[in-house]
Amino acid sequence: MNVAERTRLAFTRVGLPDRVPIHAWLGMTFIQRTVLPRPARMTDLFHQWIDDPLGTLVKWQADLGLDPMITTHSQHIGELERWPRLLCDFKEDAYAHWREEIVEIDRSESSRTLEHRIHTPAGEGAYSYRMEGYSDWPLDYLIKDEADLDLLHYRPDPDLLVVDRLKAMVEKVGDRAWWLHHAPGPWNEAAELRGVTTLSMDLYDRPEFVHKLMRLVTDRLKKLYRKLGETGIHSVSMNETWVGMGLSPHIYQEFIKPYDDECVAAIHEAGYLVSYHNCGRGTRFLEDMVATGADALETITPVENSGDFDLADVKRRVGDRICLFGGFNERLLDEAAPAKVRDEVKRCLDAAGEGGGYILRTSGAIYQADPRNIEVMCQTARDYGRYPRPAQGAGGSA
Amino acid sequence: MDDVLQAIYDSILEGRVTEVAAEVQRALAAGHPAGVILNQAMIAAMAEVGRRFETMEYFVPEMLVAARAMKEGLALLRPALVGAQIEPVGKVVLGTVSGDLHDIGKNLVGMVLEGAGFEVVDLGVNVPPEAFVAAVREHRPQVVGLSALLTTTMLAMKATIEALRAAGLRDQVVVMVGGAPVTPAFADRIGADLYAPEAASAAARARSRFADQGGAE
Repeated sequence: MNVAERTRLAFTRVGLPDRVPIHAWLGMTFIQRTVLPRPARMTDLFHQWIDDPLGTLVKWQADLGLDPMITTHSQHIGELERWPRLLCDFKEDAYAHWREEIVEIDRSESSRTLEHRIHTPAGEGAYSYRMEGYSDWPLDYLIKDEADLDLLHYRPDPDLLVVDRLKAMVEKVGDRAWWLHHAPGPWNEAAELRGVTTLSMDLYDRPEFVHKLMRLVTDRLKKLYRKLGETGIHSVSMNETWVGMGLSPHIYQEFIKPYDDECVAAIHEAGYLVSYHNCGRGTRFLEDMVATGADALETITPVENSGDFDLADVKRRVGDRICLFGGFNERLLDEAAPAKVRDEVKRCLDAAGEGGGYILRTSGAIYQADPRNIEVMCQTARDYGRYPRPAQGAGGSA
Repeated sequence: MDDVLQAIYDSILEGRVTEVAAEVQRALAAGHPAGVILNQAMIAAMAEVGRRFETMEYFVPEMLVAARAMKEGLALLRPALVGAQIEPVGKVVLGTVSGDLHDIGKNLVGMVLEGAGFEVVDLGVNVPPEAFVAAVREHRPQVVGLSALLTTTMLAMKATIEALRAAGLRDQVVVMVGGAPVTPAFADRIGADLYAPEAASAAARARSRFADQGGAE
């Protein structure tokens, strides 16, 4: 059984794979320190990944024992501009009414602060962020008041996105890795445009404004998701990270879920699978997230890692309706003894492995880890995660 | 509770900024002492907000709007507090550590601490260890609060504590740490005094620790 077949069975729950799939998201710091033969400039790295995904991303993960997973990104405001633009950029026509002027407003040895000045027929707007190391940090946001919503009508049209390079990369990899393309969900995109603190207070101060913003971003995201359907990706991680900030079920149901429902439906219409990404808290509205119709739920972050999910509880409550994609506390990979890593794998598999519909995945990206611990994680899962599973408590060969 | 104090209390609980401002002015005009307004209405309301957060009746947005209302009321009350020589229960120097520009958690902790009667010196984000050291020398706080959102940046908390130690200031302050990736075990390992899993408990734990040392309460 190849990687894509194994993970697809877990996602769709139509049958049992040969074993539980094992995925992780390797962070840039881990890649730079551990698997690269020598330091590389990020742009050079991205070109290598696009030109030779099998010899880079897929190989590095397979060598560690993982089922390789390719995590590409869609461009979104204020963040991660470089990698997505190399993969997919807009035709020139898309910028006819959205002219962006990028101005460097500060520079230090380790960082650059950039302001994007937006010119549209509806007026001017601006947002700024700092680029430092591998991260971009928003400093202020495009939507400063209600009038700025008009600017959003002129954002580049996803129908004019050129997806050829992403499509070619997907074809090169085929079924030797699971493709999980990351794109924002509506609440996350709204937070990136408005700032999550202000947006949270808007829920009380101007709820109609929040609905207007969510409508605008949802309509555009649905077009993006449809366009991504042309690339052959297996799945999208619909990133709703800020849903996990600590929201009430009422707020989720009124302001977020209706828009999430539309996005999930648009992804399914485009012919690929969707994993709902909440890497924070949400156990209070777990059933609501599942009711969006998503195929998988990630990252099921345990309490020890600042989430509020208990994997066994999640399996009991919704395991018959959705694939569970996560739950492993990746911090153990850094300093813990191998025995603890084995115990953590077994805890996850005992909690959620029964009957399929489970993918062992680190809850967060791996920034620091002992590679030997990743190998222990993978070997334990390969042995203990076979289907049919051993009776719980019977141990395993790890 | 007096009607106007009850109105202030209710307005903070419901995050109504305009009403809080109007009611604080009405209370002052009616001759209520600033200390009574602060303690019986405002701090009591924020304590109730914290309780509701812990019991999951309130969530982050409700805390944010309540803390904003508290801050608005406090700004109006401050001249009267100064006039009555009412001191804050303690002083906190707060910041997101070096390399990290996330501020929502830090801001929330700051607002909640102010709501609990602390004076807060907010150093902002991406604060290097030496800036914490300088702020401790300048402001002489009882508590230093360190925030981080990333596993990669939380290591700067350790560097900050070591810088305070090297400057001979470590024993003069209670160091409180928090943020999404921070755990009690990590807090112990880097030599922090207090770990706050979220904003509501940050204020309660700071007050409790401070009281143990003969400060507030």
